[in-house]
Amino acid sequence: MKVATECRAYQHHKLRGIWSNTGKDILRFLTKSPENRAAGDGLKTRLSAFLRPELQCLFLYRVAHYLHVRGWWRAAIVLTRINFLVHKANITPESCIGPAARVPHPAGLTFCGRAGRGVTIFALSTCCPSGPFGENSAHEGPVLGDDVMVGGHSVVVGPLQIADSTKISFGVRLARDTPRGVLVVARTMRGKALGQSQALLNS
Amino acid sequence: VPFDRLTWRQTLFRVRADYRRFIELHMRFRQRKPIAPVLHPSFISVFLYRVSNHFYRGGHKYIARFWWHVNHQLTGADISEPADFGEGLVIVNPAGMSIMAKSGRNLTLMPLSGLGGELGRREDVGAGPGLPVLGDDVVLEPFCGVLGPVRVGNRVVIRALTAVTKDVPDDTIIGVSDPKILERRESV
Repeated sequence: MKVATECRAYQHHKLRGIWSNTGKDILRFLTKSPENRAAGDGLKTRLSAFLRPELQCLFLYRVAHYLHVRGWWRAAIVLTRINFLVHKANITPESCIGPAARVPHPAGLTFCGRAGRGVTIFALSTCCPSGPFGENSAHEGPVLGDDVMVGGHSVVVGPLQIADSTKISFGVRLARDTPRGVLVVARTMRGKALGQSQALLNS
Repeated sequence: VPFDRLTWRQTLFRVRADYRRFIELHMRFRQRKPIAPVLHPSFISVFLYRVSNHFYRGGHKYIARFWWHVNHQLTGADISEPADFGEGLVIVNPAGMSIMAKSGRNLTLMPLSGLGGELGRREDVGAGPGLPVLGDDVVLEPFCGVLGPVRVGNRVVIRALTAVTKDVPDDTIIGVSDPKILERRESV
């Protein structure tokens, strides 16, 4: 069994890696805001967090990735398709996502690439190879470093290197590498008043 | 828009062409077929669209609407039953997709791209009031849209996050400018 370096570092090839990575995902969720921190870190709050769609989606992905790394790729793909049907999120089983990840709104999410620790991928983001991709094309997709945040409605396409602590804001199409700790913003998302809406709505 | 009735043979021909193109695109990355390709959400969404389109063109609008609902519930794709797409249609990730247009063959739709009308423009360029017409071999990247009664030529690539609201000639790449990269302060 050949295991990639990143997967070995995150123990994706071991069953206990699923539990430790999921535990870190839950811990990240429980510490994301003052309200969540105020709820405490007991068994009840952990179970309540685990049953949220974002953590269920990540858990199903982690099990699918474990099966993929172990060589049971048919089972991995079945689980990925169940994940798609239940959460409408397309995270390919070959993709490698580090611990303490967050996908706050999984519906419509597409991820086919690799990501480090503490990555946050917001609603309807797409990280994938440039062009149509299959279930085994993560090596053509972007590589996100640690603590990267991909904002909502953003698109990261192609085999890019997104360095650690990069923040990609809302509605960005990123198709080139970024250095460490930068903020990427779109140039054309700012709206301006174009005229009266009455005639348009009545047409 | 008056549609020609499709025979089952014609519908099956389109489904086979969709399937072949779906397999080709998968084999581009790995020299092996995807596992159970007919159960892949991408293919299921296209297949269910073809079934609903077949019934719609045959005049069975309620049955067409039923299959549209099945497609919507199962894959999250809203592909209107009157939409007319040529053979070789590939939808990479159907969840959240909303499309209504007319196109030639080999249309590729990446995640969350959209085709349809917009408020205020109701001209008919061949796909119905206010809807776009696309040529052959058009590729729509994630989060782009072709909106309103516009004509898009053959072999056009529409880059991510681009809204096309005017006619596009053949062999063109349409896109928005690159994002701005800023040094981040600690407080951001």
